[in-house]
Amino acid sequence: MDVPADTQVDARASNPMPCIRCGQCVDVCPVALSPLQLLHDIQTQRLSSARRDGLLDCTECGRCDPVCPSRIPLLELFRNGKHALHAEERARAAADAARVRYLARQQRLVSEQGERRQRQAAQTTNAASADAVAAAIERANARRRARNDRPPE
Amino acid sequence: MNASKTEFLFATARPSTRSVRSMMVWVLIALLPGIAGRVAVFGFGVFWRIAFALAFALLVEAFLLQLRRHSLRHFLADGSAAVAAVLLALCLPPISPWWIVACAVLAALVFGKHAYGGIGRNPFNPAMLGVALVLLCFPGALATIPTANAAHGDHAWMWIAGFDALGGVVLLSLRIVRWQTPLAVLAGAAICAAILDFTGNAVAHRLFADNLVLAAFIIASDPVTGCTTPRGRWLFGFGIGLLLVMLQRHGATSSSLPFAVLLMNCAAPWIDARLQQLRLAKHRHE
Repeated sequence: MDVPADTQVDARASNPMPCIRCGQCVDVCPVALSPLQLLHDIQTQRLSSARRDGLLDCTECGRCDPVCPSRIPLLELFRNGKHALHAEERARAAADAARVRYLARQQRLVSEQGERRQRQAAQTTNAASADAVAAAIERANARRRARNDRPPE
Repeated sequence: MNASKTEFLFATARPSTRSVRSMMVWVLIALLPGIAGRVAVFGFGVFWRIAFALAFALLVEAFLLQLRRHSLRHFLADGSAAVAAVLLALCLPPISPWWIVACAVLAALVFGKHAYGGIGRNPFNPAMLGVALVLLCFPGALATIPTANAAHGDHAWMWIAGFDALGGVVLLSLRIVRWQTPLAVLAGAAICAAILDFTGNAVAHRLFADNLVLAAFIIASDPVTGCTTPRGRWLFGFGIGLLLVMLQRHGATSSSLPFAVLLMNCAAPWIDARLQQLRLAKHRHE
């Protein structure tokens, strides 16, 4: 198969004319994309529009490339665009994962702190109640009785 | 089935034999029969006017490219200014003074083309923009000129339309022009004329008048300002045919062609965007 050599691609890329919207690329695209629309999205730095217009559907079959009368290196541009989209996607996935982790940790810290506070609060209320004081005195007296074997004054 | 499958799997990267320049040159060649027909009917004045428009357009184009610091060799040679100039000269009334031609060329290239960023970026057909401008600005100057129909009758226009169609068929066979647009323009005009005029004679008159055949094959088929999806080409062409006949009947200017084309130029990007979304969605479902 006659796959384009790198030199050929470079020669085409070096001096392209502007797109004249002749539609040859639209006619040959096997997945019903509009390469000229994708080209416009990419040239105007609108990657999200390129995604909406189906850039990720592109199979990189390279049919649009040779039919272009303006010698625009479409395939190369679409590959770069897809790479950029994928990189963006990876970055977003990483950011999403980090956010999920961060939120989970925050939640855990908050709930742990809550539990600790509850425990402390329970302890202080127990210590403050009259029953608890009486019980503690009783316990202490019992210990002393056992140690000295004689009743307190 | 096998052939198409292997072709799909191993996309052949044959170098494109057709460049923008060769497309434009073919359009100019396709215009030759129509030019010859007009010269035969209206005399050599037509030829000189085309030559003047061409020379002036190349001069203006060179000046504008210089102004925008573009490579003269790269862009002047693309031939788009030449095509615009010839189309413009053909679409102005057959006998118009030189200064009207000059104004139209200036308007076409300055406001129609370079103001938008040059070749490929213009939303309106430059030639039609130039013609529309002089039709609106100098109605008096153009009204004093006897219209071609009055002077020569339908018969002459029939011949000219035939010559235009000949050039159009050449472009169709080279697939520089896709068949949907011209057919849609003719169908739109014929249907609209049939509804409005009833008689076959009047329909034929409408189809040969006002450069309709030239418009169908070459002006409406200008890729830059037209639609790129197959169904879009149908809608675009049909709209031009329809508007053309309606404006002919009810419009105020002597020629309705530029306005029909410019109006559809406005609609073309919207038509394309909607239809391409539908097309892609349909393909994904299959």
